[in-house]
Amino acid sequence: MNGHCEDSSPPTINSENPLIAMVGNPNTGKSALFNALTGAHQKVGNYPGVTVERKYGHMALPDGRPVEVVDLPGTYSLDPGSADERVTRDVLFGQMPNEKVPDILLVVLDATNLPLHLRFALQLLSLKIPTVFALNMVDMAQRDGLEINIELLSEKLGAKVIPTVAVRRRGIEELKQEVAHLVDQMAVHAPKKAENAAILEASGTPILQDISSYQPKASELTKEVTKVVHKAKGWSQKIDDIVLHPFLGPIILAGLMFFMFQAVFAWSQTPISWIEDGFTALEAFIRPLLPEGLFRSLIVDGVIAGVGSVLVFLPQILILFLFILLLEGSGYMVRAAFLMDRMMARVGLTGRAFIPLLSSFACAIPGIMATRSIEDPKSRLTTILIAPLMTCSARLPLYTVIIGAFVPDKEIGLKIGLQGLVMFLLYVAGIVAAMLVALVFRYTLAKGKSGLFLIEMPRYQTPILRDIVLGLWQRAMIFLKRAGTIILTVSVALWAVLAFPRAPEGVPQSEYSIAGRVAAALDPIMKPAGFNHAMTMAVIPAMAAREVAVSALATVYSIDSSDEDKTQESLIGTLRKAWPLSQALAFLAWFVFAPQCLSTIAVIRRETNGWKWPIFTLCYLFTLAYIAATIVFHVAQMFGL
Amino acid sequence: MRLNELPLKKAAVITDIDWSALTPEIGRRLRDLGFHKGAEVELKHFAPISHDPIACRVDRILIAIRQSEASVISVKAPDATPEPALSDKASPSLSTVGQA
Repeated sequence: MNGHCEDSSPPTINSENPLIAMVGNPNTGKSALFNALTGAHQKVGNYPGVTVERKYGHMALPDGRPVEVVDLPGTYSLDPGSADERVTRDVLFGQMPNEKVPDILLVVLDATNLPLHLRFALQLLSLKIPTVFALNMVDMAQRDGLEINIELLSEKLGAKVIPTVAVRRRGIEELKQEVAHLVDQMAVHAPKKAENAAILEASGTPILQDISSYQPKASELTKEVTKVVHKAKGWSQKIDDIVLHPFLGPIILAGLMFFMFQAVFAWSQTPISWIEDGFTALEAFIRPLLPEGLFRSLIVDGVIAGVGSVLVFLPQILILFLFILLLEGSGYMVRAAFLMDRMMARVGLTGRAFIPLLSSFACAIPGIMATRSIEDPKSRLTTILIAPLMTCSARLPLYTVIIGAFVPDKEIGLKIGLQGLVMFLLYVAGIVAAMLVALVFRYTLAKGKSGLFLIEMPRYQTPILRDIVLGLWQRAMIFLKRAGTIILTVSVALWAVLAFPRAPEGVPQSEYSIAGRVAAALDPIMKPAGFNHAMTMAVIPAMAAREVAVSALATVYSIDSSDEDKTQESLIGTLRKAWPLSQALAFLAWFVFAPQCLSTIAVIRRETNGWKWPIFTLCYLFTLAYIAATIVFHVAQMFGL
Repeated sequence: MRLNELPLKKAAVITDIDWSALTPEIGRRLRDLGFHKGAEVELKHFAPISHDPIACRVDRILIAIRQSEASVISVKAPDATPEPALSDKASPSLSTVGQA
């Protein structure tokens, strides 16, 4: 069961090479430094059993010797806290199964905030692992008017301190040299290290003092090594005065969100059409190569069409991630969470749930993955469970066809089209449903306080192109891997359900197939919800991905699907004649809720580590879909529609 | 005075944190972020409408914190003399907000 849809298998590393662990507070530029040190030689995965990213990389020392680097999750202390922070602690204490205890620590410090960072540095030094410090963001400190006596700091800490500016790759070579120096010394001091590990294991864990006990020493040390040359310029503060303004702030946030959605839809059109053209060309190329028959049907209708229907979402997902990475990299994301916290708290969530839910409008998969930043497990679970209710882009093709067929294309004043209004209402229905469901869950399943909203708001910075590109590349690979495995498997399975058993001459294949028979059996159940046989038929192949419902309807109404525009047009015409409005509305209501996206279910399984919650999601959403469709159908009938 | 009652953009010093009013995790998180007796704090921003959460500077970093957590942190303006005048001007509007 495991491992199939996972990328959690630990990336292989060469355990012979020395292992360097990067440790530091969040927002120190640790990831940027990791990227600068390892370049593209990285492997991103998960630690087994927890959804914490495991980032390994490979680095060459100045003399060419190879070392491995692990970027441990950012944490403020070794006192155990969130899942991320526990990973850092467990790896450093050698209590993480299958993980090597690091040979050398590379501790990243933020030069602009030494009192907080030195505190953690002192706690880490008590581990007695050979350590080198990267004093990062020295340029920012300079701008803030701070002069840091690096030599004195090195002397006081008893370990070399290297000034760096990770985003400009300054200090990288010096850092590598010092690592090389420590590697050389390792050979001499190896027994000493083993001795320390033994102390840790024998006494269990708590040989460390509480982090706040290091505070006085850290503050004193900061005073000793820092000279304030001039007052800070505070440009970050000036941005915040505008961005967090009680009145302007929300307007700026709304404007940004609006722009983001426009871009996700507008910018993706061209690349989507490339992908579609590519798959059409591929199909046209392969079709004549294979003999007519089942195998050709499997390859063309199953594999190519199935994988193609999912790959077209890649551009939208990448554009959305581009925005998310930019907003995160610049430091704005936390501000958005700050502005939205109160609203989310009304339904028992925190401001941190805002971003994942926002992402879910493009696709629930990145949205659910983004819930990792929510510390409170119950808030996180609730957010995961309601993410599929956000109107994702896969619902659009279906909404477009049904609205086009049944909602008259007229204006209702103020240049607002009726069709657009219905589309908008469908979005609102999803949001309102999500909020109500969240409220119910927070009082029942995921009972608890409304979670904690207590976070550092890092200063603004220009996002680094290299890191953005790397982030997009990693996201694209995760998505493609999924398309190549689960989605491929499911596409083939669905094809089989529609292709077998083979219908005799004169009987429509879709009716004769397993899917057709299942639909016939489901008909009596779906009838109260206003579903006719064609609708039920369309819903079955759409289990994999909802947008398949459109092509399924086209097949059911046996329309020639050679030309897409023609298909859409004639499908709209056919539907208009075949369905009363009450049935069409019930069909729309169904798709507001129905969890018809296997990738989403798979990602919920992965993020919640088990089948309990994905199965629960399926059940509760199908129930809601059924109830909503039934109510809409009967109310519409009452009005004689 | 409590952290959430401070007038905007006036530096103060943390005099006491009522750890007993916090769960161990929240207490740990506050310590992690550098809240400690003697730290310099300054109220910087309010969230729109409800004024909850607030953003405050603790030593050199900016932290978003909800009113409920901020209200267990006692603060005192560093020089006591100008304080009455300041709090007279600023506290009526702020304290009503804090209760709402």
